[in-house]
Amino acid sequence: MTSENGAANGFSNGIPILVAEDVRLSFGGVAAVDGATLSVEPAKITALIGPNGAGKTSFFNVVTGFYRPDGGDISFDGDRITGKPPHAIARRGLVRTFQLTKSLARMTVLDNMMLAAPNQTGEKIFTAWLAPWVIRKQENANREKALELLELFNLIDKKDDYAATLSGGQRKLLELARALMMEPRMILLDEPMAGVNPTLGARLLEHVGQLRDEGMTFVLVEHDMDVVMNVSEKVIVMANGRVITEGSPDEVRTNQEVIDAYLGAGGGAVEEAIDEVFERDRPDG
Amino acid sequence: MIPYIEGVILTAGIFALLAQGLNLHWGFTGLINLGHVAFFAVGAYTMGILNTQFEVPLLPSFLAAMVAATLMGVIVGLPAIRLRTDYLAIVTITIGEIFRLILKSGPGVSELTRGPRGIRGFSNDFYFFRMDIGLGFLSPTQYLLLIVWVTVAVVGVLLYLLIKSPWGRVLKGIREDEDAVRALGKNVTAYKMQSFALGAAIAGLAGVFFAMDIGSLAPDTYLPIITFQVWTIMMLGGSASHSGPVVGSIIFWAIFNGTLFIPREIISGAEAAYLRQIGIGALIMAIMIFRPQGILGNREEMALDK
Amino acid sequence: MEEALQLIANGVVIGSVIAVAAVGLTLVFGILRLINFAHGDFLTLGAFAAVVGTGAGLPLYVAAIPAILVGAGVMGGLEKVLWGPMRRRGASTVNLLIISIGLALVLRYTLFWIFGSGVYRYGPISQRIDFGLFALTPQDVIIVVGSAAALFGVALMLQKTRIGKAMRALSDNKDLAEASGIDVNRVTMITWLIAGALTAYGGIMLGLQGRVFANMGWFLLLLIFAGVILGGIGSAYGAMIGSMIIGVTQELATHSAIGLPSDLKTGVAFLVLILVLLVRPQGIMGRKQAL
Repeated sequence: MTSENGAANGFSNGIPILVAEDVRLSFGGVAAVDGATLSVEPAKITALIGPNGAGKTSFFNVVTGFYRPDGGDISFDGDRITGKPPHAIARRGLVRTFQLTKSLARMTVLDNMMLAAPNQTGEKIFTAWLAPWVIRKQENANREKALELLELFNLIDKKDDYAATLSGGQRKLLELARALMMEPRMILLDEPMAGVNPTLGARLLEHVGQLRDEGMTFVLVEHDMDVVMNVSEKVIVMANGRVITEGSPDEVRTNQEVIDAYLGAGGGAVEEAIDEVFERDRPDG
Repeated sequence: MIPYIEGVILTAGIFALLAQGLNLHWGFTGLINLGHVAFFAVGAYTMGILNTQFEVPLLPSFLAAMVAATLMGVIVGLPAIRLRTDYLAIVTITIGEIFRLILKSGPGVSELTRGPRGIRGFSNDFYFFRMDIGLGFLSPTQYLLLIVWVTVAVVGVLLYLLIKSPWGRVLKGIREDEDAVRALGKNVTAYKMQSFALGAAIAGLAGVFFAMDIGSLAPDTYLPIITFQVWTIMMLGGSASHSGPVVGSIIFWAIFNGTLFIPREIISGAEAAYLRQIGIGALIMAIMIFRPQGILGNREEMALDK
Repeated sequence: MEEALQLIANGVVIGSVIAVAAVGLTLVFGILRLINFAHGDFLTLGAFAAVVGTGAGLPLYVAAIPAILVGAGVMGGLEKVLWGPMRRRGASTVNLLIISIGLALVLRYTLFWIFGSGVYRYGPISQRIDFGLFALTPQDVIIVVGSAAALFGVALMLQKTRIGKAMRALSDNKDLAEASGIDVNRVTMITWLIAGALTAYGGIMLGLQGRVFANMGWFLLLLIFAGVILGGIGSAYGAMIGSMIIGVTQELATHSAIGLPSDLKTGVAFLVLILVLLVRPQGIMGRKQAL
């Protein structure tokens, strides 16, 4: 019920859905992304890890069009998307969430969901005046879909509340549900577990796993190594704006380069920190 | 007393229109526009110039005024709309001032606008027209007042429908967090431009009525203080409220024109003018300090503000 | 060419005044993210405070001292009773901006109310001195030298003193600065006091050009904004550069080879601002913003 299903959805294994080649981005001479090259396979959960300042979020921002890269090439599902505006990339089915959730505070939860629905006729300025009946039909369909998703994500009781009143974890759930309204093919999750209580976090991961089984591709930036090791099929490690290694969780765990990267970034934070991060058995324990 | 009331209601109507446009910008889209007076001026001048110098009839010149204001909205929007909020505030007020200076002494332009001397004589047709449509029993002021308030009502309904529609939902989303809306696949820049242009068109129409009211056009009428007055009105009524502009405008002008009743023996004309400005300033501060959601604004929504 | 040199010299004079005012504005912005629309009227306040002194028979350089103290005192006082409390109540940037518009009106028209709409002078303007390539009045020379001294002082303070370093740190990254033990409230207050003193000083310099009147600061405000934004808001050095560009541009615009009416010269300066922002939305010295 796992990757075979992905193939059934039209993705053949081995052909990456997202390819980034030699992506570069700098701010005032400081390179945030310094020639990152990586690929993401469809219908899998890929984790992007690395010490603080490794360039993970900057990389996300480049891939999703929020920053224009200084160099390099990015293609999604065979089409070049380098330098395209964020909304155009999102419409192609490559959708992201944000590290600090961006729920639209003074809109209701339901409106947050409805806003995300793609191809809305009513979003053109004159149809609102000239063709209200067309809009009504579409709105009803979108509302139904939104309510279904809210039901699934246990947010249905909150549908008429302002998004600002949700807890941090509920906002993360709302952001994922909202992304799904867009019927994406791939979702980039930027620290989905940050600030989320364990119960909600578990539920969120459950949803992610289920969606993967249905053929959705995920890339997640995450600091909680438990999560990374448990849910992801592939781990890509970045340091200093470059990809230093990639592989299965087990391969990465024991990779010397990775350990060095964390060591280098942490200064004196040393072996213990690494042990803690990767939950390795210590000699004395 | 009757002239006072008519005057208040007429001016209030014109400024309610201006505030409706600004409310679309700020209240519903979160675009800070401190150059609203430029759109007001574009509307007035387009109508005035077409009418007096090219003998364009009334109705087409009204439409042209709105089109010109819309274009002005796009022209201002192109450089400004991508800027962050604080830069946008300064750039818009700056563009308003550039525009006033050009009207006053721009080479090639001041021949059309007659520079500081201004334009007169465009309002006769407009006032005579009331005879043709059987409204001859109204005084000129009452006639203008009627037209202005019908316009306010129509614009109010149209805006209400728009804001309620999915289009309005995108605007509100942009107001809350434009990056989130980008990530949801909406072309944020295009929506901001539409909001900016539409609000400008409404202000342009207000400019036409204002020109009819005072009967002449002069560049130095269109100072930034007009924009600040519109902001006061919008904040007083409550931004993002559909009736806020109307209520805010009536209260504002009732107080403002009320100061005319203060006898000259107590305060001289010049002093009264200064005190009025101090009053506007104090009112702006008081609203923002004590009731930032305005009279009709939603306190709950306001409390959720970042 | 001669005309151009003279215009550039005039531009440097007005640019110096703008720069002094702009640095005060940008220092406050750097720490509080507050765009203060009342800033121009604080120039006027400083200029009139000095008028009171010279009116009482004091020489200007003596009258300037209490005027500068008044400027610093009023800005500091407003931080205590207005800006500080509003920030603690969580007022948004735009709320504060609008409050400053109200404050600007109150301040300006109070000055109108007290001093009327007339023009005041510190004293007669002296004959121009011919420097060969251009000619300036002794007052102009005092403005340029006085402004340069003040700006040098600010630069020295930012680089060398503890408080200057704290101000830079706070403007760079508030959370980090706070975490590293900087007393934010104290630094904020000192920033206001410095900005107030600088602004009053700038107002006196502006008045020294010839005329003191209630609208003078307001008329200069948009040019100050232009200087600040052109340089990159929050950057003190950017504000100095931006202000000079604005000052020189607007004077050069009146060159007879261009043939623009002098009414339009501020318009040209604003246009330069908009063109620069088109190419570089963060200003000359400003940094790209991270998401």
